[in-house]
Amino acid sequence: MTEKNLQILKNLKSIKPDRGYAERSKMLILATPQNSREKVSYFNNFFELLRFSVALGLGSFLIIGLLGGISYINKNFSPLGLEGLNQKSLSVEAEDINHSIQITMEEIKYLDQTNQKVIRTMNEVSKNKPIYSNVSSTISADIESSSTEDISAFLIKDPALNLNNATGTIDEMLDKLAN
Amino acid sequence: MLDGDQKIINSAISGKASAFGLLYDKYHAQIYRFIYLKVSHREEAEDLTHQVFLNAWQNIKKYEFKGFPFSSWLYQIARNQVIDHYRTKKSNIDIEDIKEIKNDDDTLDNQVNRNYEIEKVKNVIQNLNPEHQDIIIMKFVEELTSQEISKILNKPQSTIRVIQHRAVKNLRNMLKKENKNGQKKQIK
Repeated sequence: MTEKNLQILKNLKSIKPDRGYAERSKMLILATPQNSREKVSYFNNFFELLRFSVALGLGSFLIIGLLGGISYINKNFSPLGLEGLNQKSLSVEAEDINHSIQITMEEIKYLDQTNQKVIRTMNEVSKNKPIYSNVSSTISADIESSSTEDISAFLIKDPALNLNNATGTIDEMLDKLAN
Repeated sequence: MLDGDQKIINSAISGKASAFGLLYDKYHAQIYRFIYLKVSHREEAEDLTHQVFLNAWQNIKKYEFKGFPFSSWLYQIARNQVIDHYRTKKSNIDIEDIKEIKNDDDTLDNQVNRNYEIEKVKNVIQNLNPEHQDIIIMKFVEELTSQEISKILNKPQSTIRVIQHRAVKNLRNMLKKENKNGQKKQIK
């Protein structure tokens, strides 16, 4: 290394930082807090770990308890939990009612059909045997009649048929009339 | 290192900011110079120097006196800081930074010549590899001992001498080229 170059290198020592910057930097640095002791303290680490584990365990327990409580309240005290308002039982009951209504409707239908048959039969009978024409009109007019006295009005007063001496049932008599 | 320094360092380790302030005043310029010659940009050098002393203040409790000056520890931090800086950013040669190098005792001509020479050497140092830069700056600019340089670079002294020899050779060759280029420009 030549003397000249050495001298030039030594001249580089004249490079200095700006004073204002240096002061500001120093103030900022000294105002910054130091890091706490970084020496590993196994004792402190253990306590930290223990504290964290306890906190984690308590937190989990709390969450589970909360969920369980909500579930219990929902099951026992929720309006939807009441028997009367239980959706399933309501739907079952509704189905039962539907069925019974249907059965009743079927019965009514059947009875209506039967009634219609009886009326037709009576009409035919009255057509074939004119003296009995008042019977069908009486029947169709007064369907609601059900007393014994009223029934006797429906009885066929055929001279050929002496009811006082009748020994057969009403059905046999009706069969005879039909024939 | 003087006994006085050791007392100041111990006070700084115990947390006294004023003690660290004294250390800052003593070593700030040379750390700044070291970083500036490596990155060749004033603002970057200021930022990195600030970071070096901030790290030193925050981690001073880790410092242990092992027979070397406190500056050795600072130089280590500075080297690492520059290495990290190189990883993230490319350093640019800033010719305008020549303005801050002044010597009021010189005449204007001398000042201009000196500035020109300094700028030339600075550019040449920039072209050396980082290890050669470190040794040239520490040895010839900051005038540290081989022992201190060995501690800072964490290499045996024999290795340091070999690297120093190669660094000086490279520097000389580059300066010769710079001088030849300068003369060619003058002729034109």
